[in-house]
Amino acid sequence: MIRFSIDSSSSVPVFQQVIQAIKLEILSGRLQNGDQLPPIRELAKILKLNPNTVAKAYYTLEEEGFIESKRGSGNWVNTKNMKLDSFRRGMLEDEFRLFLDRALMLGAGLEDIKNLMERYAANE
Amino acid sequence: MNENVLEVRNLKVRFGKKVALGDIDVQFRKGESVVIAGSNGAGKSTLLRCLAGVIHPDKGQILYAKDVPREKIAFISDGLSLFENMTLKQGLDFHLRTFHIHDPDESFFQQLKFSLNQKIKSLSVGERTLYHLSLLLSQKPAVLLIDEIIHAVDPYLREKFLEAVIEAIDKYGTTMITINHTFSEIQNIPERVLMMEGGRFILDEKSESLKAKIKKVVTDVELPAEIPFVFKKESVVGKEYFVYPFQDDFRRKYPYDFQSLELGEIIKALIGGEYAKKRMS
Amino acid sequence: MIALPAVIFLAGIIPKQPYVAIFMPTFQSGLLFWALFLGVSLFSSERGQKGMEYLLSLPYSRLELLGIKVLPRLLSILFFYLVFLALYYQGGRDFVALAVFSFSFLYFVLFFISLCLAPLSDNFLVLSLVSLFALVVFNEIFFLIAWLLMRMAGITYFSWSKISGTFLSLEWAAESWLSFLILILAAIFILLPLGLAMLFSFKKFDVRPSKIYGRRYFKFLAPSLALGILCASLTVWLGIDRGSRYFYLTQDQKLIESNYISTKVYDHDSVSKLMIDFYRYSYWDAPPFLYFFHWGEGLVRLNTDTGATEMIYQQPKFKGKRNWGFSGRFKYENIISLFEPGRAPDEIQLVLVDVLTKNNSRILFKHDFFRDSGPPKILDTTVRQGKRFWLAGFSYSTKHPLRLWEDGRVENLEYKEQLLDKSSTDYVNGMLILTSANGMIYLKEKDNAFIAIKKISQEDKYWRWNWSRFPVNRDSAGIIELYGKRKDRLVRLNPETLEFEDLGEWKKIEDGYSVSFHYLDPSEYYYAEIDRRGQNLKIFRLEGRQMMLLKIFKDFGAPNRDDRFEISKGGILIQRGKKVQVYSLPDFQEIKYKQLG
Repeated sequence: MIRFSIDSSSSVPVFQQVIQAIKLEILSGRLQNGDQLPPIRELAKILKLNPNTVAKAYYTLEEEGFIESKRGSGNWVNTKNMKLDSFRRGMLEDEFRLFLDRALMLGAGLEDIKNLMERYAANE
Repeated sequence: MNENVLEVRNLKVRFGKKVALGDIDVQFRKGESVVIAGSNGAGKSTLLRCLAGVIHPDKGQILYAKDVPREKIAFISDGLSLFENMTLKQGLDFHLRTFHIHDPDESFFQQLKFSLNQKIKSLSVGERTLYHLSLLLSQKPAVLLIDEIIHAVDPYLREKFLEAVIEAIDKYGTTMITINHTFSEIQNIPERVLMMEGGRFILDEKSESLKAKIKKVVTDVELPAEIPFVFKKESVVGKEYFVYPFQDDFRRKYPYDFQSLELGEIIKALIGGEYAKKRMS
Repeated sequence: MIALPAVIFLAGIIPKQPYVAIFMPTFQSGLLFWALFLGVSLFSSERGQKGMEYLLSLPYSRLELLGIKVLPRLLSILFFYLVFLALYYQGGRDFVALAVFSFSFLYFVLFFISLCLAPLSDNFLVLSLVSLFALVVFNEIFFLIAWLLMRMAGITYFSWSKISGTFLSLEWAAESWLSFLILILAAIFILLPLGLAMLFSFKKFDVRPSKIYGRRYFKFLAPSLALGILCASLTVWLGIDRGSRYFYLTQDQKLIESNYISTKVYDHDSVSKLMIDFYRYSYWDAPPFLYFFHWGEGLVRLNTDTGATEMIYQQPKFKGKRNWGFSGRFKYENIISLFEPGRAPDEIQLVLVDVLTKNNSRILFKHDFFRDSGPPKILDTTVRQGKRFWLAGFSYSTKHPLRLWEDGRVENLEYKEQLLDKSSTDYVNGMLILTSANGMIYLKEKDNAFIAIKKISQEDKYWRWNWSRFPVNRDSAGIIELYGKRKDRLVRLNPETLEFEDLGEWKKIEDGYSVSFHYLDPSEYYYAEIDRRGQNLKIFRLEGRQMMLLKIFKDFGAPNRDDRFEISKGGILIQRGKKVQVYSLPDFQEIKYKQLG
């Protein structure tokens, strides 16, 4: 059900990676409103993470309103009050900025990127 | 989350004239996982032994929180010290009895499927390590002190052990203090890195902030003096610089690829740096 | 473990079997090794199985750990000690290599020392050697303290061998419980620092090299040992008996004062202090000589005019059980005769010491009666048909008296009358007197055999005649009269008719009286009566059936005061508290000694 792994050498902190991954699962629809998230202990075991890290990620997700924590029974996806589209756009922007950073580092100009995007759009 | 489980004040230990620990102060929080890194002879094992009560410090105090009795402190030394003439069954019974464990958590012990009538000394190093660890986990430890020993365990069982530890941290709020444990599967557990050298702490950082502060640069040329580094490796491919402390400015100013690192590599570099320093002086 | 009760049982039912003689010394030395082993092996099991760190990580304090480790060992030590005692009292008594006290002492001290030193090293062999060395050092300190202090106190007779003798067999200490206690206390003071240093340093015992523990241990041990030695010295010093003085009055009215420290000879207006390196006992005198036995060594003669001493008879070094010490002597003419054991168990040697020539000659006698026996008493000596013989009798025995001829012949004077139980033999006024719990028999010699001339049966067993200062060291002059107690009366046994003659009321001990008879020579007899309630001493002279009150000494026998008196040929010596007085006999003139405080 959870289909992601952690990149230990990434500059993105591990708990952020967990958050990103779960958000991605939700946005992609693999996790639906009302689905139960894996218990902290199980996810920590699967990902070989400190359970505190997973807990921190869940806590942040709850703060942001993606999930709902029910005492004793676990964590549940809660997207009822969420505007998923705007979050999707926000995430896209984040990912795009990351991509731009790397592209610029490779020495590409904005023109190159524009051309590349047009070519991909035409193919697909 | 923020209450201390253990506080160490002015700890001093000498081995005759040699200072093993010189005036150490450190706190550990409840549920925290810490890796103590450092070169050989840095004082890591001595510190761990002090925490376990095996070494009595010459000066200073080791204060455990009131709700942590000695029964809840679990320790495994690099000597894998047990009463090895006992059978596994006797060893387990003895351990449970002397540590007054009335409701042991034997789930990890069961997973190992030992034959209980063999003597402890007949076990291989890896098996013995696991056996000992299983005794400690049965204690439902509040503090788990593990010396540099996991390397002897094969990767499969290492993972099993890791899962058991994760469970303990979550279930019992165990504080885990390990030494130099930087295997790839384990490296996401420690939240904090303590670096020791010459009987003192030279670094105390959260894992995440340490990751942010240390980057690797591979290049053919010398790095400009403005970029500090802790360790340099040279090979036919080029020079590897371990930049520390890293500042975000560096990316803008210099054209190098500042790569992020795994915790294991970071610790390796820091220890290597210390060796390099020693060679210089 | 299961075999041990069996051993105890076997030793109990067949105690005299020869294997016991081998078993007991082996068992003793085994136990000593066991004590050493249990001590030094305190942590060997942890060290052997690399369990030290594990042990120290257990949730116990160091002192608790020490308790857990020591307790089973202590129990084992006590258990085997009880086994030893059981074997000892079940018949092993005669076969032990070490006396029970010295063994017990060594056993526990060795265990204690090795236990205290056990954390100092990981090496078993080193620990054993160090422990044994420490034991030797302990002994040396112990002896040195005793020796030094006794020398300082002025005690003249204390050689090294005597001190070790003191330690090993406690002959000296056994004389009083107090001195025994003092020795034990001194030993504890010396040993205690070892244990205290261990308790102190073990609180910080850990897996660091044992040198670090050792440094802490000795840092504490050194001052506490010094303090312990000081306390031990103080105890011994306070315990040295300087107070009690013993007086002896010679025939020429010289007063000899002796205590542990020195000997003083008082003349009428002078005193000379002599340092005499002898352990003196059993005095008698023949002016100007004072004779006494030097314990375990021989017979010494002191010239009271010059202070010179010489040993006129040297006792051979006896081995094993046939060491009699001195059993008294019989003096006739210029000869002092006494017995010493022979080489074989059925042999005995009569030693004749000529006091003029100081010549010692020995006659060997062989008889079955000498087996398993203490020395007989020499009762009399006579020359018959040109040959001398000595009449010898046994104490508390069914053996008959013997006549020992100077050519080495032994004649068994078997009498027809046989007593039902063991009796002691005496010889008074030409009569053999056999005394047993059931009665007495008087025998007289007739045609080379002894026949009964009088029997005093069971109903009269209350007749007791040797209720007295009957001399241990006899003279050929002998005695004639017999006085004693019969029922509640003081009686005389008429030497002619062998009938009892009533002299008066026998003063009972329950009423606070103690009485004694004093036989000085064939014609001089005294009777003394101490009335503890009235606090006085009455001296009577006995002449036949007459009893004359000579003198009443008032203020005698007060409680908490060791009052003594002695009647001898020189006069009467009275010690009341610290006051010493001498009165001549028979006129009771006080003899003054100017220098006597």
